[in-house]
Amino acid sequence: MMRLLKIVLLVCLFFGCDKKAERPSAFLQTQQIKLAPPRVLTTSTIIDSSIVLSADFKMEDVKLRYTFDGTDPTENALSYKNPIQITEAGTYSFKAFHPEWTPSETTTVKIYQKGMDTIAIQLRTKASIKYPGMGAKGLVDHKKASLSFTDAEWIGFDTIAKARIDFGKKVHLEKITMAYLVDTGSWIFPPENVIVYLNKTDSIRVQIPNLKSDTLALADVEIPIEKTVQYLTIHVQNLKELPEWHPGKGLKAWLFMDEWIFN
Amino acid sequence: MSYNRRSFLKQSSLATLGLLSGPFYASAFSSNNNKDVIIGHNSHRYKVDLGWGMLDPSKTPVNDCHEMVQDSKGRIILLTNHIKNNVIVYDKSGKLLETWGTEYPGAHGLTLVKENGTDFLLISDFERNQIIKTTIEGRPVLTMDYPKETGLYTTKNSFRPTETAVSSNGDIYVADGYGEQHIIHYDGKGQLLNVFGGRGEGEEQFLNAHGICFDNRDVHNPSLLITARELNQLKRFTLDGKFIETINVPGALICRPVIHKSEIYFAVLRSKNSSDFDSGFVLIMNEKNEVVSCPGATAPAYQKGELQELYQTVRLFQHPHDVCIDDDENMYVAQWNSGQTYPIKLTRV
Repeated sequence: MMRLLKIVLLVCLFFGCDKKAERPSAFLQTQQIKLAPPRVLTTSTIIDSSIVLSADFKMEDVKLRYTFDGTDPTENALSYKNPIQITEAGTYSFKAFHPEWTPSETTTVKIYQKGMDTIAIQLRTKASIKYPGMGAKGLVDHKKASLSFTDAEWIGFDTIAKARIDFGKKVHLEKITMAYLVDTGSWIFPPENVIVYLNKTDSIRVQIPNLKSDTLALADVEIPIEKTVQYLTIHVQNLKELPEWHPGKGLKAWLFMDEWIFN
Repeated sequence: MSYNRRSFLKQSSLATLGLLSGPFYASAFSSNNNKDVIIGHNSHRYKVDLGWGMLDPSKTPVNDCHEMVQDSKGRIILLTNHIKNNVIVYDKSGKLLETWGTEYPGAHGLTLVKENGTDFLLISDFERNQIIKTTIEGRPVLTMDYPKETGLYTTKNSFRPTETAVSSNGDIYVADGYGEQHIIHYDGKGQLLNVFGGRGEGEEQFLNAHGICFDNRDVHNPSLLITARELNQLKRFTLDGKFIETINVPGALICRPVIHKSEIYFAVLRSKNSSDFDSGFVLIMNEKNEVVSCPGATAPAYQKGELQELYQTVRLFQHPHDVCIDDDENMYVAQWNSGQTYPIKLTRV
């Protein structure tokens, strides 16, 4: 494929894609190459009162632009100059622009609203001995983990994860957001499905689609509830068989979770 | 679950180069904004030639392009782990001259040795767990097995050598970069003299002792330069294995040091904290071992004597694995896991 592209490229260079017949160059052109995605840091990705977002791209003439409505930043989007104080949950997207190079891919950071406090949580299956994280409490401590699976905020399972939640009183639960790590190179995949048991007869099941290719990302699944509850039982099924394209195909995947957010 | 170098993304070159999503098809070449790419900083800046050395993959294929050297005749020699032709010999224009080698499945390290005016090659094969010395035409003349005599290895499989270096007296140093992280010192005939290094984060230890070279720039004080790639460090040792100093290159997974004149050149496999795996670049240090240029990455900057973190800025390189600088000061970049692409030539400007 690369070779084909190189040939197409060379043909264009030598025979001229340009009708104005400027003298073509045998060298790679700036508009053929993208900028790298901007680096974005946050003081936290769970918001209580406010957090600070900062972006970084040390290259001359690069301008960073951002949006906070989930859309892809264009050249007319807000210009990033200094760290931004943020008080609302949302999706913040950053993109790098340069007069000569092609714009970057978008770096997106999702900021979550802090969930309910004072929850009793009990694990009914055991986390891996190697990756115990902070235990069950780590799932509701309002702390997110980094992209590194060795971060102590991650709790790792190589089986189904089952937990019992007690809110202490009846509460109206709008949704649950379950955040997990995807690091396919380390055999860490999204869960297959999540089942939330509201009582003996009522349950909500969410299926998570399979991955098609290698990925490293922080991800989440939202489970709409809209019910008044006091207790919940949650089952998160790790992927039982790695897909065909993965070197470990057929073997089970790891499930790494950092936070369950109840809103 | 451990760090697995084989598990990186196989991203398509297409997406990485952004050819389709760029304004390529919208008559990009009529735009005033379109210019020859120039990468690098200060004294070391380069234009990029993607067409150099491109061959017919059905006849002369590559898998990973691991390392390159220039021989005494000025030819550019590429080592790949494709067993149809482990060694591909080019002239400087990128024309194919010859190929050889079908028995090096883990062909990784390539070092040129000059003995009384004759060129030899040292191939580090981490899958064969061996170092093989060959003539420049490819005839094996010496094979070195795993260093059982050190007492540090019980099976050959824990010896996964990535690189060799040869000192001016002909001694051979082997870096066991994918194995136990020892540096093994032999005489020119392959007799064990010493062993040092080993796995760890101590100053005399390594995580991924990936590359080694003989530094003769100060002829009165020759030494060894060894990369600790996972630690983003270059370490200097005496020829008898005493630790001298660590040079930090934050953010840069440096593969092997390549000395050309008074400078050290490195392929950087990837940027430590980038969201993309294929976030490599090239790095150049001056005679004082200060970083002066990073083609494809941020400009090197020192604050209070500390080098600031380096990272990829343009999506040109994927996983650079070695560089070779020719006698015209041009550079060839061999890449690991880049979709079986041939080396990239950088022309100094």
